[in-house]
Amino acid sequence: MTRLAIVMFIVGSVVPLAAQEEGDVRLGITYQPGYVPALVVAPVASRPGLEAIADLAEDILRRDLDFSDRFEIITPSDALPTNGPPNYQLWNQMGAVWLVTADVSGSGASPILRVGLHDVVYGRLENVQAFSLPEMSDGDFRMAIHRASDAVVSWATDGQQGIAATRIAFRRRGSDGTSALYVIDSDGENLQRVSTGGGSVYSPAYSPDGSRIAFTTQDETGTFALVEANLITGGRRTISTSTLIQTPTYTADGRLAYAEMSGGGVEVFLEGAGKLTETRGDALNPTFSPDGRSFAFEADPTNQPQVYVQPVAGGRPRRISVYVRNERTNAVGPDWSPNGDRIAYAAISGRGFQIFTVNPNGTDRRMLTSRGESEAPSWAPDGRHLVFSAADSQGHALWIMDTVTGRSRVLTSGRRDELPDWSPPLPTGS
Amino acid sequence: MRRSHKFAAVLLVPLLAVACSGNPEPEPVQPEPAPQAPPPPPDDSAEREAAASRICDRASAAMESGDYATARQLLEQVLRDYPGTACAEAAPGEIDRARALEALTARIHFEFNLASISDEAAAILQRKAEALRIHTDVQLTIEGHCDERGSLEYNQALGMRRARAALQYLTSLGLDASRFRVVTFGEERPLASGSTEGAWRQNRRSEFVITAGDI
Repeated sequence: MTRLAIVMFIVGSVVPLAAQEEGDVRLGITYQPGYVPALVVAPVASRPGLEAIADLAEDILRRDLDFSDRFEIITPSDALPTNGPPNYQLWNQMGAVWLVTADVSGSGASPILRVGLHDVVYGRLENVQAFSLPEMSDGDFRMAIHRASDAVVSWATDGQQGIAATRIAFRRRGSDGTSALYVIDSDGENLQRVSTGGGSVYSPAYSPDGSRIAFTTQDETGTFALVEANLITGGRRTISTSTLIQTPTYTADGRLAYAEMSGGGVEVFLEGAGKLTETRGDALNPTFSPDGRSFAFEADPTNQPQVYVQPVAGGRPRRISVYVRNERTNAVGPDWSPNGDRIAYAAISGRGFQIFTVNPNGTDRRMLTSRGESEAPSWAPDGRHLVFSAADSQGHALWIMDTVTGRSRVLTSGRRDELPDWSPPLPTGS
Repeated sequence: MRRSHKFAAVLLVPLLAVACSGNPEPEPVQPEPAPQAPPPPPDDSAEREAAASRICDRASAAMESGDYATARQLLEQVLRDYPGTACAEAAPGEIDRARALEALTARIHFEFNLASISDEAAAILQRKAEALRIHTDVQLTIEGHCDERGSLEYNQALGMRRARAALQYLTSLGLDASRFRVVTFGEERPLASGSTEGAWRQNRRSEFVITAGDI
């Protein structure tokens, strides 16, 4: 059987069947696997001397398309011919619905990767495009191939957004208690440290164009700063310092929002709009709908944090997480999906935090994880994958889950990785 | 840094006299040095000075490391067991200083997920307020800390609530808010490691750091 089916079986076997929460929560984990077409990446052809580039491009393309979770990947045997017109009949017999062909031309200094997508069933070329790659040693080499992978996803899905050309920013704690800001490609390669120096960093958030990351720092004296790092220039600016400033985020049109100590508690602020909340207790972790009209946040007027949605223009906050009196049901860290249709958050269920998603109006709540502790979900630009931190006895690692199939994979093997934020599709040079 | 505490010394003299002229009550066991040995005979003054000085060195080290309770206990021991030594002469002032530092830096603890001041914490804050009224130039940074449960970001805010609850209590006792600064370290700086109720209880706290003032 396919790997997908196996994964579904494993996930299915750990679903807690007993009712865990009141209200309109769906019991257990709910996935809609649907139809997953089979796709094969043919061996990538190349001019003599460019074989290494072709081999790497083939590996990256195949893995990216696998990680998109939109295809069941068929691995062709090495004995297959790499030249000549595609043998649709052969691929059809192998069960493939899609065929990806590619070749590398040009020179080592400026290679050109030409990628084509074929509809095997109808026996026709669906689309083809040439991608200029930097040389192999260039830091943007892999990202350039990831962009080709996302083009294939778009061709095969009527324009759906891929996630290959993205990164994830997160905080990694050192054994000395300090923490630093890191970014890693969504396939787990190319780990880079962004921040320098001691102290602590928290809550990174990508700007909508992917060129900047906002985060907060805390120095030895306990003072917080809201900082923005420019990923293209390498520059950095301190936007403000405060007794407590936290959980920055951007609206889709690029305005910065954050939570800051104000009067008796922490409240949500939006650049150009001022204070958005007036809460008994603290309000933090804002996240905005793509149309910018609403935002979700966590607040604890009942001494137990819950997730609320409120119009930016003003109005009553409406709770969308499940509150059970005298029970620990803390719901925190909401993230509004880039498609606008779902909000992910972490809430205590049973022993620890688990990942939930819910419609912005509070209906159709689903629990996506069930073991250990999982926190701080962040949506991928495709609106179906989530990255979150998952704790076991050894610490926190980052995981990626496809909310459609339920398939998940480890992103980082660091044992103290937290507060991930998934980038938008990244521009060249970032 | 050090001040003479004349009043305290005067008050302590009669007590000292009582303690020294008292009957040979069995000696409470002291941890060290030479715990079994009774205080050396009065004629061996050099040895007594040396023994007292050793305890005073330990008291100074404890004072340096911020363990004011231990420092105070050691100094009280010297006062009791080695009266007349140079170390004992200076002890009353140092004991007073240790007491003030102990009160000023004493931690308070909180219930899970709460930032309210318990009766126990209120008593600690009242002693702190007394010390602050005596040492008028002392300024404190009030830190809020949490246990590891709850999200990291939520705990940043909860730590701030705890620091501010302590601040509010102290100002309600008439102290000027300008003498305090509040910070939160969330769950970043635990006192005790481990995921047990015991560790969590220790970690849900406010700490008080002296940032200005002579004691």
